[in-house]
Amino acid sequence: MPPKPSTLNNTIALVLIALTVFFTGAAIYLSMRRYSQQAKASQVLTLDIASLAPESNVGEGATTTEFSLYSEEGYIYKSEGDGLAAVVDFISKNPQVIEDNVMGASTTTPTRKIKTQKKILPTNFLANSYLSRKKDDSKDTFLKKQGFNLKSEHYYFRQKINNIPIYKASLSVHLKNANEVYALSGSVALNEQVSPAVISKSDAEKVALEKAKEEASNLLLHKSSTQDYVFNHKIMGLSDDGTNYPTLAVVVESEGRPSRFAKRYFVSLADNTILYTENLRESVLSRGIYTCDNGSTSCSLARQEGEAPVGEPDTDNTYTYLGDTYNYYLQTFQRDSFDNSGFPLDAFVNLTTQIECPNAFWTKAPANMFAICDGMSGKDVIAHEYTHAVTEYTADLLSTDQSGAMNEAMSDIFAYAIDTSNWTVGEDTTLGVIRHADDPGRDPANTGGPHPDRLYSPNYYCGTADDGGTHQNMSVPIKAFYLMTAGGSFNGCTINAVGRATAHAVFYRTLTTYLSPTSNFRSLYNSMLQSCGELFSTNPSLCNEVKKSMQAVEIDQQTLNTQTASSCANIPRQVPECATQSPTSTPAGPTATPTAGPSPTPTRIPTSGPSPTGFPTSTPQPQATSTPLPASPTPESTSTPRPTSTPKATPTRPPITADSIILHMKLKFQGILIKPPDEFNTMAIHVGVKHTGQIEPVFSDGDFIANAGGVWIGDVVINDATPGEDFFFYVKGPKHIQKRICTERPVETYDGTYICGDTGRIRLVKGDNTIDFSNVSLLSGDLPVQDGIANSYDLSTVRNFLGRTDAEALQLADVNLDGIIDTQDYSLILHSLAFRFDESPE
Amino acid sequence: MYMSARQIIILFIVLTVLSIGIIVMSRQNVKRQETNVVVPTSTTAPVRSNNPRGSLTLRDTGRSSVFKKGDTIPLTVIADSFQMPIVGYDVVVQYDPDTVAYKNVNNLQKEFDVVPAVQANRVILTGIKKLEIKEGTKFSSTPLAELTFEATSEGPAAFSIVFEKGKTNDSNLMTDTNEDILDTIKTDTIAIGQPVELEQGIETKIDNGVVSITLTATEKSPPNCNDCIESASLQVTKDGQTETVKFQFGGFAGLMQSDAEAFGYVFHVDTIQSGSVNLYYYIK
Repeated sequence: MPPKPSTLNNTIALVLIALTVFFTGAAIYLSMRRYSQQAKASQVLTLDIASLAPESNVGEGATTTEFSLYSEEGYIYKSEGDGLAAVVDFISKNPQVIEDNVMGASTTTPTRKIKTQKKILPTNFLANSYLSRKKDDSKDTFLKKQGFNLKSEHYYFRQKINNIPIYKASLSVHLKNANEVYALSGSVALNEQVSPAVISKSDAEKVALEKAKEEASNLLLHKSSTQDYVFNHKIMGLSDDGTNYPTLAVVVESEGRPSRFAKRYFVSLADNTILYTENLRESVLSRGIYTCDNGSTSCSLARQEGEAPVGEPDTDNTYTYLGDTYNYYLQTFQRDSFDNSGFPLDAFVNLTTQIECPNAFWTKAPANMFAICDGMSGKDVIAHEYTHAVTEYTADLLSTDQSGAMNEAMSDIFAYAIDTSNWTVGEDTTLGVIRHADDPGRDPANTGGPHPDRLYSPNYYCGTADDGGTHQNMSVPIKAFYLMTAGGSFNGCTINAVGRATAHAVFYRTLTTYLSPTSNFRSLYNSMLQSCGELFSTNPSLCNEVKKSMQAVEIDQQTLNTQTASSCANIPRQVPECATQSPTSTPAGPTATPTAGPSPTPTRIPTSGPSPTGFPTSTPQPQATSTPLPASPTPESTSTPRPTSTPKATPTRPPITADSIILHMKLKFQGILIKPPDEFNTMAIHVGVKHTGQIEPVFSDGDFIANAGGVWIGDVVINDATPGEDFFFYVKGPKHIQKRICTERPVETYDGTYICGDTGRIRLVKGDNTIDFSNVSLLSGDLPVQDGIANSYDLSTVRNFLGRTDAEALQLADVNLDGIIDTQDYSLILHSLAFRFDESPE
Repeated sequence: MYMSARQIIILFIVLTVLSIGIIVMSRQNVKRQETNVVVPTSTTAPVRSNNPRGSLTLRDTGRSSVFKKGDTIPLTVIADSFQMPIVGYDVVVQYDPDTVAYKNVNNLQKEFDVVPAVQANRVILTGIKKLEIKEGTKFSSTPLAELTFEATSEGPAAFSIVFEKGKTNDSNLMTDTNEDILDTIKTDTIAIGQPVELEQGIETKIDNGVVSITLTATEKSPPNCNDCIESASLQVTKDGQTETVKFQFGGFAGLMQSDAEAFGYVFHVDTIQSGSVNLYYYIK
């Protein structure tokens, strides 16, 4: 039944009303929300970063924040008050930053900007901070003296939680004109929760002391002070961990003044771990040289920092060279001792029987010490060992295989920063010269020399001794260093010198920034390029020379993620990339060595057999030939005579006597299926006969001519043989390998497969004999000048003569006598390689 | 069949397009054939170069230079041609069949076909550059092939490359101008020894009790020591006489004293453990 009209109208009205109510409600809700937001926004000071100076930025982070904000011009905020009051007024406004973020950058959605608002300070920052420092430029005497009339004020706050400072959490606010905030920066915690402390402070002190004793076991140590701190890794820039840890900062120092050791350990009171260590010493060189004369196991301090020379060469030299090396690293790279925390330098010298001598080493355990055998205190030796310590505290390279070789290489490379007088190592010691950076091939045999100068050098050591040849293969990166420092031509590459300081800068950044314990030569190559690009971004040509130096020694050809050298894994070598570049100039330098051609992936081939896979097993059918090319000039006669003679085209036939054995022979030659053109239809054939048991055959030659079916017919006269029934035959064509035949009508299924037995069974009589060997093919392959074997001489001849139709080429290499040297001739010889040798008397 | 003028025009257009296509394709074929022509570069018959500089090296690329019976011995043939493009080579490797047996060969240069031939005490590798690749290959420490042998009995096993200047039926390096430039060869010797594990202080009899050996000391490089020397000392006694032999590795100089001799025996150590070594010995 249809609804009544009034009911319908009511229904419609209700719906309309409901809709009206819904939309009205929605409008009210949205208005309220907007109002609420506006109201909320009005309680904070918002700073649109787009209106600030471009260098302004705010870091990401939910629990911490790091920011630097600068006004483009004018100020960020102007206060009613002056000085500190203005700063407090600004902070109390709870400043927040608005940033534009680009969203939706995909193939389907267009990019759009979304404004996001970031807190830069916790709400109650003023309550949880303290003014740690104030600086007034108008009172700065240095600025005044320099002529600057600045009137800015700078206020520095430190953040705290529960009255405990957060270590290094700070805010600085900069004012001008007394009340205009023009810049602010800081790194603070937004989260003010601290992990609960469950460890006692005395336990924390013990942890710090134990750690210190581990690091400086040769010194007497004590706790000098402690302080509570909240420690936040994110604020320190150490990691993304934004947790606030309760810590006890324990300062441990060595006895005596000035103390040689002073460090602050931040021990977590949450779990008793050391979160952070600070070296409190200034960068002061501190050397202690201990002498261990006469094989004594107890060594005495012979000279320490600041003391006069003692007159003992090893003591004084070690003292001096340690200082030289320390100062080099400090002045060049601002590296304070090998650990970059001013670790004291302790060396034990004059060792004789206490360790294996002659030698020098550095060891981290137990005491970060240098051990120098008597007579081993050379400048490069000390610098080498010092750099081992640097490596230990930076890349921490393994001491085995390629990582170990790089570890050793770094030590020599930086030894060349201290000892710049030559390109050798060890010359001032009892060992004498043990390594040559410029030519590792000269390194002596007792050190495993000659050493390799590139990855694919035959001298590259693939064995296990000396931790995988670390002191042998180190010479590869060292050679690269030499090339980039001194320049020169090597391995097809021409390198312009970048100089010692530049090379060292790149190696240092690589060692201390990019290499990891298991890095290999390829990692070194990649890291060097990265380092050079960063250090010398404005001079790409310089980095290209660095790159070429490394390509020249082939370290870019090392496979990543393996300690096995590509050369030891038989991975084919490639032509160095730098060898294909044209040099920008021609520097003086080492003699060039050759480059290799393309080296494709290895292909396994089968073991020896009659017909290797991929090679023809029967005479190939004729194919379309290459386009003939004009004849080449007459060759020069420069060859060394080959041992056996080739049958002459028209042999001198021996006289026929009453005792002569006259052979009327039929022969078949591999690849000649029909009668060749008349101009090629003569072959001089070398034929020998021999009784079973006779040592040498009796040979004679005869001319043979082919019939229409490709069977070669000719006569051979033998004068010095006694007739009999046990003859072997030896037949050799002018481009063929010799065939031994022992039956009168030999047959074979495929070319070359007839094999003669141990007994000759051919009957020969005085006078005429008919010999039909036309059912076996005489294989080609031994081209003039013949030497009894088919090998690369013969194949190369055909290959190099391909397409030739001139008489000289045809006489040498036209195996199938069709008037052209082509792939058929090549294939015939390839087939013969399965047989290869002249069949000789048994 | 009746065809309208429109159909004829369409057919004409189709045929024209087809014809043009066929012509274009056939011209491309002609071009392709033309590029297949191998341009010969040689002008002379094969000769020995007046300035031969090439070299062949036979090198043990395994992790040790001493093997035990039954071990596989990998040897790599490495060539240098000093900027000369090579199109073919022969490497005749001679070995002692009483100590090793030839197993197989692995071609490491894809652009070359390699055909091996085995004789009583020789393996002959003939490599020839594939015809479809026009240029020769300049070898520079280039691994050509890896030969694999099996160690069959103890003793030194010398491998040599057969080469005599002026001979053509031995090892050769042939250039694209038909010159044999091979001039020098480098060979390798490995040893096949009897393995013995020695514990420090414990006397061990070897060679049917003829000789006794005692590991008297070992010095293993401690962790975190750079340039420490590792060493091992043995006391070798035969017929009441005693000799001390020492093995040393590493140190600042990178010592490599892995072999020592006493009483006509050769002793070999590759790695030293704390208190033990794996020793190989064989009669010199």
